[in-house]
Amino acid sequence: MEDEKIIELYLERNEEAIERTSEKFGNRLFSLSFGITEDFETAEECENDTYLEAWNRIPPHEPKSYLYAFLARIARNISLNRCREKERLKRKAFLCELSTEMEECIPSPDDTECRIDDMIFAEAINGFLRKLGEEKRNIFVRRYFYLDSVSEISNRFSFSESKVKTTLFRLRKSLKDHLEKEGFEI
Amino acid sequence: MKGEEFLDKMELIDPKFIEKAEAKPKKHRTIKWISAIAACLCVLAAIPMINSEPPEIPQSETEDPGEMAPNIKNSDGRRFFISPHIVVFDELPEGFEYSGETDAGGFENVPYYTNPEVPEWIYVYHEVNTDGKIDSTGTLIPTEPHNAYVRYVDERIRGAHLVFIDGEYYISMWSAKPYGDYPDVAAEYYDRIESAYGNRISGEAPEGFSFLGTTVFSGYDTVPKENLHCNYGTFDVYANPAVPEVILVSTQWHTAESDKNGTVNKGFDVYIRYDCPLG
Repeated sequence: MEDEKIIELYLERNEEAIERTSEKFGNRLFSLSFGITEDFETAEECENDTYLEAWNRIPPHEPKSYLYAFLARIARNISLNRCREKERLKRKAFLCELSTEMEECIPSPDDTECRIDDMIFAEAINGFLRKLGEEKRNIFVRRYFYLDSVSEISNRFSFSESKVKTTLFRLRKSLKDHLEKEGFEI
Repeated sequence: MKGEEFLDKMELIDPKFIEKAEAKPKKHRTIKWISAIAACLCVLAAIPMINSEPPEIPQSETEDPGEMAPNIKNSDGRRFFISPHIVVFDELPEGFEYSGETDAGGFENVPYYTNPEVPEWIYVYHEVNTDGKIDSTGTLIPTEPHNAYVRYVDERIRGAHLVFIDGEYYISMWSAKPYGDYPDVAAEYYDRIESAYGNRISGEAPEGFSFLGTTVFSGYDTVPKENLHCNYGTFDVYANPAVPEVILVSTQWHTAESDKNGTVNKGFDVYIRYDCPLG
């Protein structure tokens, strides 16, 4: 079923919307969540919570042209939060690694409260991504949105792990430069 | 801001970049992903031999392959995408002749072969690592990458599930595209049938539909030319003379919920009459 029709089901408050969403995107959402949590049951919970959250958010949201991205964003957030809540998942090292990498992109990392709003940040990050070639952009998104491991990215794109690490390192540096040039105050 | 918050902010990445990063990537030297699909297909291909049941559709088959999928253009500018069934031969299939060189599947200047009798296919000779042996655990042990003839299929019929009956073509609602450069059917027509029947009917055939016959499998990626032939497998067909634009084709499926219990649902896929561009 096309995304637009699924959205219409949500707007009509027809519970079939969730069934159709699960049929079309269930496997991908589960994989996304499992990649972050590495726990079967938790990933299932996250997938189900994603449907509930989508049910609550549509309306007012109507992500007709980007339904999967909309769902993936929810699933990512829920999965990240589960990792932070549940000690037993032992994903702290993984999150720590990613957070440390992200800190390399921040012009002046500190403990101060975030002073930027989401719209400005979205403009900056997407401006940076638009400048990249498709391949580099996909590597960046796989790592920092989908939270893939270096080894997963290496398999996905048929690159050596060292090439992926080098590319990510350069991308982080470029992002930092980009944010500085944009006069970003973080 | 700390790294953790910065990581959270990555959710603000543009949806179109998120979608694109989810698509299958281009490969550079060896299209290794073919191996994974081929492994699934090998296992699926074994199912009919054991069970006499048709193999399940590969997940990517009916999805729009998009720009990322290996594709080439023929001399008419028509695009051909790699077959969703990953058909690969060591020897050039009979009737196909060298037609030039092209870029395809991440490879540059690879030879391709056409056959005027089968305009819907092009074979391209490039590196693959699709074949191998399946061990006792069902794991594919691939061979080393090697060159082979790989089937590419005209985008207008790639992934289309077709049945030919009494001179008319029918396409499954699942695979029919009412949009894009080459819509299979008009959107209004598609919507009208969908609102009346949906894409799939669970349980018994609706009143008025009766058994018409059982299809003969004409082969994947083919345009069936003989009566009651189907390019997707062997199925029972039901028709209703009062509704000539629709036929029902038997099917079975696992729902997400019932998968866990091993429950199989039975019913019918809805096929609609259409004007096959290669018929």
